[in-house]
Amino acid sequence: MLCDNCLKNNATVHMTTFVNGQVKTVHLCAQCASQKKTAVVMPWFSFNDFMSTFYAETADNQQCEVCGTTLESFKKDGKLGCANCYKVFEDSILPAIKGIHMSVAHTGKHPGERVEPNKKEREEDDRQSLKERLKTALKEAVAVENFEEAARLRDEIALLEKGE
Amino acid sequence: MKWLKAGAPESDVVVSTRIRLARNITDVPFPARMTAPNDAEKVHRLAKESLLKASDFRYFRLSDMSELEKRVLVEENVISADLLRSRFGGLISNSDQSVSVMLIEEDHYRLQSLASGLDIYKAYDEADRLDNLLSEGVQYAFDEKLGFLTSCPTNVGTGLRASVMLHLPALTAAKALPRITSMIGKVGMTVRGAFGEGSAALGAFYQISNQITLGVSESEILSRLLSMANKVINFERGTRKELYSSLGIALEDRIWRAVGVLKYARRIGDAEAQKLLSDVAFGVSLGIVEGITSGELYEVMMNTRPAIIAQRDGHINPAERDAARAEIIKKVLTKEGR
Repeated sequence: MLCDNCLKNNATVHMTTFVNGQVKTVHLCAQCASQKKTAVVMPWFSFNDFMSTFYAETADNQQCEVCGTTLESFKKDGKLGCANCYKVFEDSILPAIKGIHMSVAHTGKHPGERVEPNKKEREEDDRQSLKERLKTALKEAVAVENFEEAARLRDEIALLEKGE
Repeated sequence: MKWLKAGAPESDVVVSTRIRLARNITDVPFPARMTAPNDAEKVHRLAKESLLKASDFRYFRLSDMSELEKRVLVEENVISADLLRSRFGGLISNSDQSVSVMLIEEDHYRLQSLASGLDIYKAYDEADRLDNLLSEGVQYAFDEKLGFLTSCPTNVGTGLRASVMLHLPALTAAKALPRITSMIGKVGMTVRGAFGEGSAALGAFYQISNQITLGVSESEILSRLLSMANKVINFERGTRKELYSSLGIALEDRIWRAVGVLKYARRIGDAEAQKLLSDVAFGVSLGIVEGITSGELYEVMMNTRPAIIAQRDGHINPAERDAARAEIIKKVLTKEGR
């Protein structure tokens, strides 16, 4: 394939971009690619190559019996084939996972579990804004000399403050 | 774009918040190794059974959609460009598309929740509810040690990718982005340009998101992203003021020129509109331009992307589209009192 730019050399760099809703693939020779100012994906240096420095050295012919994925294919595209692959290739991929995340121990949610990250803070915010509303209502009640309502509001505010 | 609304939290700097969760079915090959149409059907069917009972959701098969419809969804940030390359791609979304699930992208399910402005917890809350609704009918690929199993080990664990889209014209002008990028990179997060080709960030819009998904809980990921976003927001606000006090009329000139072109141009391209609307939003936040909010400007910017205009007005050729874009922007900028 010839370079899209100079139409002379062989294209060795292939860039796919998504601009204005259109997928465009450009094929360039190394020389033209280096002159382009946009980010260039070098064919000889991919993320998977980079990650493979973490992979443990094991036989590449190992294969997952469920989906047929081999360790070799994982090293190529960085993708596992199914849930079972995580078991089959455990020894090889754990170092890679550790390399990416600095950890191999999940500490997050389990399926079906409800996660409410800032529940405490949110409840506190709600309480504060309720208190503000009650205080405004109290002032209004006093202003119109509705003392029965004012007394009730005062007690409610006191109750909220006790709870804090 | 139905989900993006003006008047959102911190919208002088933050355009939107996005939460994505990667999930897979335990006994079906991941999309990259999926060959049997039956497996794909199962992925679609289980999601439909779990989610369509929530009345607001609708199901779409990508192969039934036109090219234009699909491109609109990409521009609206509802689906990824990668989903277009999937043989068995599908989508389930609610009516304003703020909550959705991509079917058979890199993983079986990519759950997504979008919110305007900085609203990380609200967006996560929606995603978490959706996740639990889906898990009622789907046996997830989950491992006690590694968490949710994903096609690519970069997403394993929580499967959570949280991101905020920020408008950083001042930090861009002050050439501070490389420093901020390297700082953010040190704490397991990443920054990239939200629009434009390669690394060039068009209109100074950037996305900050977490990189690490394993060994940290959802709460930790979200609170770290939130504090980092707040830090960058404050940098940006401070730098805006500093730039204005040092540049003065030169900055005003740039902003009023942008207003002028947007008000009077009869044809305008997507990239130019984005850049100029970015300048006007910058001016709004400094009180130079009045009577419009940053949120309204982001809205018009997002709603004048090429495919969105083509779908709305039926303009197919680029010149007609540019004329339609100029018309829409002019209307927004010249509304009464401006």
